[in-house]
Amino acid sequence: MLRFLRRRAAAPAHDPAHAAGGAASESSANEGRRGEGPGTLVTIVGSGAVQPVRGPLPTDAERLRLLARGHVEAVAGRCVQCGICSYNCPMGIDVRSYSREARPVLESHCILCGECVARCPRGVLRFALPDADA
Amino acid sequence: MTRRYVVVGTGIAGLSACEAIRERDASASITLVGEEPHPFYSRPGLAYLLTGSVPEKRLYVRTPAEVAALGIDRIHARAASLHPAEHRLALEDGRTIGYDRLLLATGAVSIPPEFPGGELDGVMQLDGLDQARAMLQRARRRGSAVVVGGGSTALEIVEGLHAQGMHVHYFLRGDRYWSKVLDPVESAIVEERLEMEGVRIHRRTEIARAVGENGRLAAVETVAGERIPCGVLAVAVGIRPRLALAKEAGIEVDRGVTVNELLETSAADVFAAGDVAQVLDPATGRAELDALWNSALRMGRAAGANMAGAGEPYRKHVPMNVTRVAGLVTTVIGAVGGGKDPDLKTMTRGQSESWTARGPSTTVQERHGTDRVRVLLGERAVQGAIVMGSQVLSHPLARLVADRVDVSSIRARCAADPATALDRLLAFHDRLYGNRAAAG
Repeated sequence: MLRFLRRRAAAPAHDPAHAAGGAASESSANEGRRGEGPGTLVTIVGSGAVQPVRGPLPTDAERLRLLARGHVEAVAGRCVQCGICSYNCPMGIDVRSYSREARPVLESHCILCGECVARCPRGVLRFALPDADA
Repeated sequence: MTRRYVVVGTGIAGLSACEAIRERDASASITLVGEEPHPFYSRPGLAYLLTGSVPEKRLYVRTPAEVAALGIDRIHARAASLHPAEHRLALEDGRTIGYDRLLLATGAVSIPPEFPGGELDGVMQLDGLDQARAMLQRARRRGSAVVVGGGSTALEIVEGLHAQGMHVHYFLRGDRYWSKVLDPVESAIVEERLEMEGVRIHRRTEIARAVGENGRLAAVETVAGERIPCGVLAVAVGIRPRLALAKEAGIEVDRGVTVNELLETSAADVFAAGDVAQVLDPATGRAELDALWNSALRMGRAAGANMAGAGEPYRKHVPMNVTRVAGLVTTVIGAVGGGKDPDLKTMTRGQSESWTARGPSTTVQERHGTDRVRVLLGERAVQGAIVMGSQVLSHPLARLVADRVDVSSIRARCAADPATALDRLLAFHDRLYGNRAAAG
């Protein structure tokens, strides 16, 4: 079984971290047009929670841990098989075929770049760690 | 003996049914009838084709090898009439196909424009790949476009044409966008973002007629007398199930084709699934229509299985959909809306009738910039929720709604202290399911 990462709770209004969420959502407006400004990336913060930010790829220890053990997974019932994930995968992985059956993307070629997670217009994909690591 | 299955409709319900039949019956003869000549494609994906996020070939949901392995006989023709007593389907090209089991998966179609000039070249609707292609072709000429209608389809067109470089005018009959499902705050978030992008929203504006030159659209005239020159006029005022085939065959219909738990219609050996089928919603006790891709997929699978004799009742899920409105990922779960929407004659694609069948409830909400969560607490359970922007809460909320979890123990405190209501709900969810976000 997998333990899923997520932000612990809805951030209260005074939480400065939340401003990043707003900015990230705005950048998603640009996802429709390729090559326009920075995309939404997902960084892993110390608490083991996932939080969208706008900025360069994180290179901290948490990211290394994810690279070694993590994977992308698909949530059932949300995918409409539009193919944006596969289209944007730099490694040529057919992410959609995993998403279709809500299977974890357990592919050795996956570099966890987050393109599919960020570009999916329906929030189907997210990062996950095996239970023992979370 | 080889059993003959006929499926009418090439959308996701029809495709899923064919796959479910083949899984259970390797020797069956499966015939799939539909006018669309294209490979199976993702209908919701057309929105992203319009914005340029994905090329057409990527919309195809099955590889040629998968289609070949399915072993279906695909006929590109329009079904003309169904004769349940003789177990026979007549096609428009004159052919007749006999069947042992037949599935109606004919889907829904946009309501045509009713204003004068609706027949002009340049007046467009978005039902399938052909229309999306035509829109993209038109958009190459740039210039102005007018969009009328509501719900997700109208917005998909607005965003698509805008992304293609057209100057888009969006007409709203009332004061705000999608008033049947969104609340005023949510509408405002969407409208603000559209306007920021450069879409011109005309509120309290109704189209009077489309004006043409030599049969081609040249401008739109509003009831107030304004004239807007445009090369495209897109109309998305709602959809209607395609009922003609069933109706003329004497099959029982209401707003859709009435089906029982096994997705059987009133005619022996005729089943229905997808946007055309009207299924009992256990949550409301009423038979309702869904125009949701995932519902159609599940219904198609269930119908196919039952046609092959599985006898498994179809259980309607809590209707849920995720759409991107004005660039914001938005999840609608359960019953969230109600009332009237002057921009829509019926419902839109990507919507469920159950969403607007709300009972008495208390609303708790939180907003941080463009992230917004609205939860409707019923007497006993969470009736529905809308999660806009950050999707962190959509999985736990979907589960609370789907499982009809009794939240009456925390309801009063949630209502009394809205600032902490969502934290309370989430803590409640975590206690119940363990601290994980997995959808069940």
